[in-house]
Amino acid sequence: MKTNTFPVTMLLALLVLVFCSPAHGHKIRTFAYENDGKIITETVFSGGRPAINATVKVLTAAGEPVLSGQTDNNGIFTFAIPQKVREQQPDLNIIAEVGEGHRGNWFLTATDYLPEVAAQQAPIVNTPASPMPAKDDLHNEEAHCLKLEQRLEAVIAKEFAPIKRQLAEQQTEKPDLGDILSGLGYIFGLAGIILYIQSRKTRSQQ
Amino acid sequence: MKTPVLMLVVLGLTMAVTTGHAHFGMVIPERNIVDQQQKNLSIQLSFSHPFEGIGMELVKPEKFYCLTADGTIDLLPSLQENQFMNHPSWQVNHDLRRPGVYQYVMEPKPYWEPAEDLFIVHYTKTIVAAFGADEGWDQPTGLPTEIIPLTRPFGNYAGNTFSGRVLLNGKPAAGQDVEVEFYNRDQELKAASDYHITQVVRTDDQGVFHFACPFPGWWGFSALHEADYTMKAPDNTDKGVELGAVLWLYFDEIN
Repeated sequence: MKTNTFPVTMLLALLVLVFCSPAHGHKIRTFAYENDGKIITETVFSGGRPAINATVKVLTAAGEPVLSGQTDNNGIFTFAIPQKVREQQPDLNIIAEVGEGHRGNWFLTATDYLPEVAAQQAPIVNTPASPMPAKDDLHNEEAHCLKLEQRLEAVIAKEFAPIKRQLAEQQTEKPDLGDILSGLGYIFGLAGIILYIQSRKTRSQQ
Repeated sequence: MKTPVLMLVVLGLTMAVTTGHAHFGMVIPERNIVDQQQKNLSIQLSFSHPFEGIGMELVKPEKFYCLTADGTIDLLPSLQENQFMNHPSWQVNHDLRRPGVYQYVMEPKPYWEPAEDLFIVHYTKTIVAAFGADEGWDQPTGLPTEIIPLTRPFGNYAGNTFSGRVLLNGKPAAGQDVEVEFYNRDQELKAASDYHITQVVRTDDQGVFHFACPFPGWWGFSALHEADYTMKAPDNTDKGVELGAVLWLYFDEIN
């Protein structure tokens, strides 16, 4: 019997091509941060050697080109935040490329490079509960309750923030060995029960 | 019915496994590789028998800090008390902003262990790589005793061999026992015998040891020495001090 292994081989070859990027061994990584109204990008090879003359492309998260440039002898490329970016506040994708297939990127959100955006999005905890009831209403019980409610909400939001984050983290966790083992346990256990019932049925039929 | 008998045997066996096994300082972060998806890292500090899941109280450590290429970050003021393995422990959240290799180091207060008639001081560290950086993982922290990785301490699979060098006062410690224990987080693994709970490897003339970690998860390495000084026990007598150089490493599952 001769099986045709050609399609399988082709598939394997394709998978190898897809998953093996040529960048390994000399991976580069890029990091960017804001300092004094400028964005500083650093590009280095694995091991820490700077990537000289690497091309740095800055795109919006939507893929629209913003600007590009070259790294210097220290692997650094710095640019002033363009006015348009300042106004539209897009998240930025900063991509560095050097030679063949060496590519690194850093995702810089608007909160990362615009301190005023970060301040806006900061938790409401430390800001006074808004809107403040008018002075005339302060003795009004209803307004009082409203104020209390707003304060409570702020406190709850603060207290629950870490829990929310933990929940979000748990959702992204992959099943670990334990989950898999217990899953297998359930499968074997259920299979055992089914087989047992079946064997009883067969026996009673006999 | 055999069930009650079986239950009794299981119960008996459970109780027979006593707490006599190795103590480990533990510094366990959520992950040992941090990427842009999640820049915040929660780190759990504790003192326990990690395979058996038996905790002990960890009083607030003497020091807890993070070493990076850019300097030292003191995290002691950020520690928050919590419970771990049903005992008082400490937890901290750390926001990582820059690429780098972050070494988290705990210097505990001495723990008086009446069962062993000595004090235990486990200098405990773990190493986290963030945003693709891979340099500086072999930098000594300068602790009185520590394990310096010879294998890059992140991005390893279960089954990989880890090599490390034990330093005592900055010099290689030859012929030193290194205890190795798996953090059996969900108590799903059962030891084949009591010997298997804590495994042991000895350093060579250069203070170097090698150990292959068979399961995915956190593995603790603890090189133990008797200190050349004593401390006053609660009954005011002089007692010996066990110094531990503990290193925690994560080995990933192959998918």
